[in-house]
Amino acid sequence: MPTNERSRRMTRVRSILTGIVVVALVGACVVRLVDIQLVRAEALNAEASGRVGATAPIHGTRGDIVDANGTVLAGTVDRWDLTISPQFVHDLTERDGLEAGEVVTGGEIFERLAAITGEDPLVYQAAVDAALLANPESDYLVLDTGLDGTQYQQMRDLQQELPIGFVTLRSNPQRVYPAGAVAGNLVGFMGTDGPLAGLEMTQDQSCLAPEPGEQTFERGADGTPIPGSTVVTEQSADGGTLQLTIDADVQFQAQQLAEQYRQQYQAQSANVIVARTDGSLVAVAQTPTVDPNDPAATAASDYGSFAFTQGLEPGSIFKTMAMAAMLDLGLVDPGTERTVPWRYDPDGPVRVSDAHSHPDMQWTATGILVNSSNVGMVDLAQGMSRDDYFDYLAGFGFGAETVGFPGESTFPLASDPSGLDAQTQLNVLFGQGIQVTPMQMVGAYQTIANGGVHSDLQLVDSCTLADGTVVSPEQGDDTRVIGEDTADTLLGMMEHVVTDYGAVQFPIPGYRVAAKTGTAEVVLDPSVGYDPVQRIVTTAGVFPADDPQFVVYVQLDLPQTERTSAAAIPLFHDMVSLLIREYDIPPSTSQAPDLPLEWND
Amino acid sequence: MSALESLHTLPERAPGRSPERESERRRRLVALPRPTVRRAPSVVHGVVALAGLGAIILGQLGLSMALGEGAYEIAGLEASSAQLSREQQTLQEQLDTLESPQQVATAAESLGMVQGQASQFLQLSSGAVLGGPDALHMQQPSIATNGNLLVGNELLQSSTPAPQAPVVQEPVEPEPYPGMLLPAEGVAPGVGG
Repeated sequence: MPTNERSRRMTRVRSILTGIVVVALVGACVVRLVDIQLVRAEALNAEASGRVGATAPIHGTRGDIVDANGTVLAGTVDRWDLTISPQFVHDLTERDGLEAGEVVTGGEIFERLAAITGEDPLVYQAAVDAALLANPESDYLVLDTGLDGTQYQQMRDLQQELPIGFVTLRSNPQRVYPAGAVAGNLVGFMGTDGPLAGLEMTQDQSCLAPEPGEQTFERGADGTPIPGSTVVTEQSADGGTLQLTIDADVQFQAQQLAEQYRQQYQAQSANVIVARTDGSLVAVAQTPTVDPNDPAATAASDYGSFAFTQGLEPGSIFKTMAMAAMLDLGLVDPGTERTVPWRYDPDGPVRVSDAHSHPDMQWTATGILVNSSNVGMVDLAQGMSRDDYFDYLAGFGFGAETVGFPGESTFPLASDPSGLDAQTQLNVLFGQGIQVTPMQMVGAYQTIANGGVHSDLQLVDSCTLADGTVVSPEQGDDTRVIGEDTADTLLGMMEHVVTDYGAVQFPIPGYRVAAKTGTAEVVLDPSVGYDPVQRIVTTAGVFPADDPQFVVYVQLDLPQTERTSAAAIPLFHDMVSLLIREYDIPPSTSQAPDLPLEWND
Repeated sequence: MSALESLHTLPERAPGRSPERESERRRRLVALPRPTVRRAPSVVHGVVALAGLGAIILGQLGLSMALGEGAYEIAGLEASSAQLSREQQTLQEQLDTLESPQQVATAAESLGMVQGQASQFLQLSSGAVLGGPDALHMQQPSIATNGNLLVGNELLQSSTPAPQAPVVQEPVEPEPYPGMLLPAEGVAPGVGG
């Protein structure tokens, strides 16, 4: 049967041919597939994303700065920029989807926009005109910044109502400081490009700054992102929360008090610092203080934190340090008797005198401290090596950084104290010829409050990162500077300064407070030397003296209506009183040690 | 066809053979499988196939519609979630500002409150009541005579300190003013306009 044979052969040939064709086609497809997917994949992807895709950063949220109780001092809020594409601004008509005959003019659109932002519509129009004048194809213009959530919603509603595709809102998170100037000197503030001052700057990379992520999306012909096409290629990470040791309530009261007293005494500026015995800072108040919400309202010279940056010759509050050294060296005890003239004028180039003239007094060491006698201090310290004294000063933290604040001054101590000139060797006993920062003074008084053990001062408690990790700053080891007995004895002597100095505004009945006042001379014009009238008045103290909890330091710079420590004493009293109220500290149950101030033959 | 015919006609050609022979012969013969006869496909099958296809297409359409609907629903919910969190944040901002020490202090003072008596302490050992600290030497309000806060807060001074819920603003006809952009003559800003 030949016909069958032939048809079968034909079939076989056909199927072979079909097979070949199919294999060839599949092969071609595979080759093409490999070519597109593997060989040229990168180039094609790049081309595709260039044509329709776009990459945009995802901004993480900058971390908050909070006080010891979690009160927000600095936070990030969503804000939006109102941007417009000037070249596409036009009157809206039927072509834009409006009803026939209805027209919304450009002017009306500007009026609607301005009604939401509260700006002048003419300003918007002028800005758009100017942009078009400069470049007829101008495609991007920021009309306004800082639109809040309510305004954003109103804009969105307006965009729903009118086809104004040339108006876009761009997210631009901003920093707000709900407590305003409270701790503004510590928190610092942000500029448009980044942090400019304070902890915002020092803690930026280590804690606050977010890690930006990245997302890609596809764009339509008019440049708008196609919904649903967004792909997050890299997640952003929020910044950490920075917790301070500061108590915002105390900080506020301290700042307010500082400003009230600054006004009362017409002082140039004021500092009020409160630290706990362990060295953690409760309040670092100053006036004037920058309001980080509006830095421009404050002079740039007041932006920093005086407590860390200012250098002053501390004056009589420094006598506590010399007394501590002498007590600890065993050269002096509270009852050491001296006959003190008001002027020390031996043969030679040195001369020391007390603030006020007085007849020769039979004062004890306690009496010398209470009456703040420079001559008495010089007399007591005759047997003390200045090298030993400066070792104590270094132990108290002088000459070293405290917390590493931006712009912090250190004022290194003299490397060869015995080589200092004779006058300076005497002056350093009562706080002249040596420069310190207010914060270093606080560190020294902390040592006395803490039983003679110096702890590093602490401003930052911890940083809680976005993933929950808590990072605490490294603190140096505690170091013993003076003996515990020395510290106790010294506090007892300082209690008599409060009760027996003669200032009725000093003591707080029922509470044992230990303190020392200071009236420091200042060099305002280096060619003149010490200013004849202007003073920096201070008081530094520890309370309750029987169980120290707080160190308080107050300072008024160049007060005009009262130029002695009498101006600082009521400020110190009120700050201590406010702390007692704030933390409900009960009255002392013990009495101050009875230390005689004078002696008789 | 001839092979087929011969196979069919074989038994008829030898009817008289004994059964043994016949069975022997049958064993030698192998029956070819009956070829299936191609019949015209029935209409039912076609209808079933098309219906199935249609059902699949419709099903897929429905599924993708459902998915699309879900996507829209998700997008809508996400949008309202975003809007609500914006609202929450706006309110939180106002709350934070209202909680600021300055606001609390001025609000207390506006109610006539002053820094008053400190706590009293009861000493359990003796049963004595101990007074707190004495009065402050400084008794001044938080607002200076010039109306500024002693400790500034731009957020309070720039906005109304009183609690303020986000109000829906009615579009108001603007008061006419010189150079106002009037709707009738309002023209989109042209080049150099």
